[in-house]
Amino acid sequence: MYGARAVQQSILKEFPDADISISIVWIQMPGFNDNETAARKIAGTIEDKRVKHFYDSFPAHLAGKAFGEGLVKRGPAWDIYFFYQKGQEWTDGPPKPAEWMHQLGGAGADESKFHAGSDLVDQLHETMHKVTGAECKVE
Amino acid sequence: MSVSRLLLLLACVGTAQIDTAVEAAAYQDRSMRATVVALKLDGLKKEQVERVEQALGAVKGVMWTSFDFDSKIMTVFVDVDGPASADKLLEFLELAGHVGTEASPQELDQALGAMRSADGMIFFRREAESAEARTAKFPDTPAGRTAQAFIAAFNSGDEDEMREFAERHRSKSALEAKTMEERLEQYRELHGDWGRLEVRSVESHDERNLTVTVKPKRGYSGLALSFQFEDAAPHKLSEIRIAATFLDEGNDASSNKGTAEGKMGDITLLTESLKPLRDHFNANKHKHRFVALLSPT
Repeated sequence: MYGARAVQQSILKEFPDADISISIVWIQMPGFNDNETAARKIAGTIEDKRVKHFYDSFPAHLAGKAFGEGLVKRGPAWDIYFFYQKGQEWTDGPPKPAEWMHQLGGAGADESKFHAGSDLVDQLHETMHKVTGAECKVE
Repeated sequence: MSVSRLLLLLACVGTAQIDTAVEAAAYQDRSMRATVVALKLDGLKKEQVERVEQALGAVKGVMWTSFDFDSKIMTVFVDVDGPASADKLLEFLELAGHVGTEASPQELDQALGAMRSADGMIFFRREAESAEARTAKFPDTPAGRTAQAFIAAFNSGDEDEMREFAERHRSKSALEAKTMEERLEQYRELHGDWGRLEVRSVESHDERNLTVTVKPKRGYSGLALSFQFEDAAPHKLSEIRIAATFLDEGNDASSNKGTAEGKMGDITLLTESLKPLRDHFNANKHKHRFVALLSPT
């Protein structure tokens, strides 16, 4: 829930004109109420034509495993954010991101990429500008 | 460490010394071979929460942790196969009692040091924050305690616990009506069909009748378990009547939190393969792309 708000706040609202394709993979974590209904509900709150929603269920975690490969030592990748340059192609697996960050504690992910709270919002915003060159909305 | 031992620790230490841990819950998820615990950490500053999460990552056996900034619930899994140390955990919790909003970096480091040395893994369960968890309280009556004990025994997946429950709480006539082997065989079947039962509501009618509505992990939307007790004291459990019921998860408080009423978005399921996601990614390769993997709750 917090990650979704961070994406909305830092990217969708701040860069409404950026020509970027956004995929949000809602991942089901055991012990949470992360079911398909919950995913559809929160997807319904994000009204942005640039966004496409996917659902990665437990225990398969196909996306969580593919995107966590080499980055997350324990468990699937979740609460994690990837930026890609134009032209990068997914062949055998997701390509190496231009930038990435996470808010995963205890998963053995790179601690220098850990951001949470308002820091996460700031980092997403800054990285969005850095990678895409897009300018944020001026009120 | 057993769940009951862990809960005891949390209960004892939590009320006495940890002003930051106002709520705690734990259960064992056997499918994941993890002990699951929830603590609500209200008093910590953001920087302290981040350091706690990072330190937990260094604890042997930790799979993952997460902190929800809305609910202030920190989440971690504890490996049931790991050599969890009750003493070390206790030490951490005692030290954590000094980690409030005004805790010094030294005090926090001291607490985290104790945690790092604990050979266990803890999962602070976000669901403990759910409205159901707060409101579905068992009454502190013989009937309430018996029903709570049944749910705990059922969810343990342990036939010995279920046997102990029957011997302790079932009436003599009930025990005579069905052999223990028959009971355990039925238990194996039901536990296999339903999995873990999550309590949604408890309705106490009188000392001889109490109904618990649960959500099974599999099989039914909901189940109503009606506990019937003998008329005569000490009101032993005579039977449990089970009926299917409908629980509208769409009205689930936690999954509703912060979302628009009734509006459902389109999602593509990745149950069979990643092809839909890969195709979408590659179809837009003329653009910059952003991919986020997020929990919907």
